[in-house]
Amino acid sequence: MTNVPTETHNTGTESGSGHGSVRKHIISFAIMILFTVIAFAMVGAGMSPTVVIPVILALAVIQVILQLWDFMHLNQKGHSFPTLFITSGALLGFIFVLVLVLWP
Amino acid sequence: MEAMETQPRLVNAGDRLELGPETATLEGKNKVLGFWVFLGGECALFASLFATYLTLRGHTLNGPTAHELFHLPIIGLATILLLTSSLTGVLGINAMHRGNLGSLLRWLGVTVLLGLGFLAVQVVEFITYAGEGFGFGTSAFSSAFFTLVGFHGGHVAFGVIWISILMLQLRRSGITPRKAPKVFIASLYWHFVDVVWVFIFTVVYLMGILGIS
Repeated sequence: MTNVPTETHNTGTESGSGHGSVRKHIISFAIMILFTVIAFAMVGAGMSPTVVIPVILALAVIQVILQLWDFMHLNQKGHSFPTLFITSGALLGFIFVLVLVLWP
Repeated sequence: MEAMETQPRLVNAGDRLELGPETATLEGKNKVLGFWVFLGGECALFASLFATYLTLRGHTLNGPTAHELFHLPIIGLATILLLTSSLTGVLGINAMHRGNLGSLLRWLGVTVLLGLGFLAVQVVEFITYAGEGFGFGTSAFSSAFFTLVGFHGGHVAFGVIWISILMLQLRRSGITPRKAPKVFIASLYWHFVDVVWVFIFTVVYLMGILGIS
């Protein structure tokens, strides 16, 4: 992950997408891979499901927030409506799942 | 941007420099905003499939259970491929923001290849299941599983075709205020497909291997 291609002919006029954001993307990616490895390792190690399930669900939620925040640029300004739409969708989805799982 | 007279008018030069060429025009801004509305709807779609799966996963009708079927290595491989493709996708957008067409096309190409790799792994996985007597109609669990995971795989396939067509168009037109929003929303779609996969590998595969029903 060290030999990231860095373009030398950067025009230098953009503020939001220079080399700094490439580094942020790489760091986000490293965290996602790390969390994935931890989740798989916990399941592979045969630990108690009552411990593992809350942890892997939490790791998934953090990974997804990283994707939305960094890879899908919700951290940039002018993204309040996109944030509203995606959180409404996610909230509705969470309610669907919760209701059907708790139904019986 | 030589052919500027044929392109829509720029909204605001300051915004363009700040946020990239995809929001340089009002049309581009609207496309990006509209796509987020669509993604909100996709959340609801996948949530209903997840809810269905979670409700039916114990109904195996003497067929194979999740615990017997799923194996960590193949799911791990699929996950690494798709997570990496999400990174290459965002690096492509970064190249677009720098105005570097060659770099954009290379990153999109890698993204498409990783997506194809993911699909190949999934095809092998499904064929293996079919060989173990686990088809779409085996049980309520199998139907819910193939609907959810297959729907996601269909999204990946659609994304691969979408991005490939964009690459052909980009090769002809270059990075323009009209083309940039199209590339940007394709990348949003691709990351969203990855977001869904994070929940699939956690809720379907990892929790399935743990044997909870």
